[in-house]
Amino acid sequence: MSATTSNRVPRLVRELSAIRAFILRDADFTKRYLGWDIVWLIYNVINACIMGFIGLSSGAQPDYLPAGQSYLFYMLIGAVMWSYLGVLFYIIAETVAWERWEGTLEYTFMAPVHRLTHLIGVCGFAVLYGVVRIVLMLAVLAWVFNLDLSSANVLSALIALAVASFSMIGLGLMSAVLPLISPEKGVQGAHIILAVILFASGVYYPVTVLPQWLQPLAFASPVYWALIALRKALLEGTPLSGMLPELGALVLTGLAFVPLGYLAFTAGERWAKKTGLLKRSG
Amino acid sequence: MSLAREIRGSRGGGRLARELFATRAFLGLHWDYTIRYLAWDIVWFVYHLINAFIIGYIGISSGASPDYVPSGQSFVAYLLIGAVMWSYLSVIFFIVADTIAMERWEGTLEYTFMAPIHRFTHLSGVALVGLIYTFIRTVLMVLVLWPAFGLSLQGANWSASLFALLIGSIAMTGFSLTAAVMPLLAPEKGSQANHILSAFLLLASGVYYPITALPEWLQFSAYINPVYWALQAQRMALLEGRGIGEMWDVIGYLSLTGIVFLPLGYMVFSWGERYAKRLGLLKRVG
Repeated sequence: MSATTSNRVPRLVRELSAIRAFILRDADFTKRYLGWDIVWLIYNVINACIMGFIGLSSGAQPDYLPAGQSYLFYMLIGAVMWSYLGVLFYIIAETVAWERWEGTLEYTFMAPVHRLTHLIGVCGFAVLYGVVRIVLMLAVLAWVFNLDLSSANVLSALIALAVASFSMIGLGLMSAVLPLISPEKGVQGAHIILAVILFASGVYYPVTVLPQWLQPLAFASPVYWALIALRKALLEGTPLSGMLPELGALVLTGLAFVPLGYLAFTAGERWAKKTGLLKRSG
Repeated sequence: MSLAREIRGSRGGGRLARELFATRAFLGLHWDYTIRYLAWDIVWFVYHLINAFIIGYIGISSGASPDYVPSGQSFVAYLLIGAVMWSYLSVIFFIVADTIAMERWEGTLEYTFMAPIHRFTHLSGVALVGLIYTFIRTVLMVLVLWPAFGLSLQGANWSASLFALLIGSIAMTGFSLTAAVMPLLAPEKGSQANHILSAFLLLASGVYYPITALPEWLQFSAYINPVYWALQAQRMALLEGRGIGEMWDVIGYLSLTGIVFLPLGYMVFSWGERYAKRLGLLKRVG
């Protein structure tokens, strides 16, 4: 075995171990602030219940729903999927703000780990955390609304969710640069971006009800494509072959946003180091 | 004049003037907080506005015209009144209920509680800030939302709406005072408990649907909370154009929640203050 190969293997092992360390560290953050995590989970569950009760009480059966499907289910899919994708976005977009808050930002950025390793660790934790939340939410909602998922194509839904997570990570990375370059206003900027994504992605309605100038925004948003794919899988039981256009669009947004987000993040990191922004806390 | 005498006031009139001045000082203090965290205030305002837009678009896209919406009125207007009123009342709730958490965060809690002012003055100042702040936000929201959805408020009974808003604000202040004691008793969990309480208020008060859509065991909680009655009154005034005389029963229930919660909230808060002082909880930050 050459020296180069023997050096490469330990490096790979070290980076994998660092990914595990980042996941464990974020798990420890979660344990420390568990009270608030429970609060936000209850908030999301209640928000989904509210959307469900709006669907139930209105008695509506809009013509964009597949025949035989309930408006209640349409609204609940929007609420649950938004909760998952929103959490994914927040964890990644706020990773710099969190480290600044905890006082570890400078150490993390000076640690001898590749930035990709750091970000994979953060994204890995975000996906795990989001999946645990979504399972808990679905369990509560299924009990409250007597949901019947017998005609859903769960496998298609899971694959769509996995591809959507990849695209959403890219968007999160692009927003994560904001708290890096602006300690004061960066997090607020990320919150507003998320609100605009929620508004323009057809989470609770088809985007055709939005003003025309807003509709193109939806086509660039992975949330829009993810929701179409998930509704097809869960409401109509569509197999993967029936949602290729949506999966293609999701892959395309992922291919655009993930490298773009990584590039933006590393550029932001260099700039923050040069201007001494890592040490500032406000 | 000794300090104690100065604090107590030599005449009743002097004391009253000083307490009024202190109320004004609390207004100034919270104004400064608002300026300091203006970016976050803008973020939450944009959030509430976007949330109201989403609710409005749900109404449009559903094409529904449920039978609980007064005839001739749109489901969108029904939903938007819910969104705007919830934004108004929830901001009062959070400003009053989180006043302790905010002071603890700023490191001023012990000084405020040891200051030679009546607790009533302190809480009146905080409540007044909440009312002024949320009123400005609500006016801005209505100015954006109603033209955006092409809705008309012709036929609305404004005097009844404002009267109901005033009574609802007082009742909500009382309710929020009972919640404000939680961060006083439990520095760690109190604020979190208030967030959960506000989420349950939103779920069980018929903000976007009649409470009959809820499970029966949840419906009862609507009758004892001011949000439910405030929303009923606002929808009667704004959608049906009813005057105060035509909704005296709803105004009566709303007033009743205020009459119960305002003194109850004040008593609970004062008791919580004594308890926190005895146990040394004012100084703790976590």
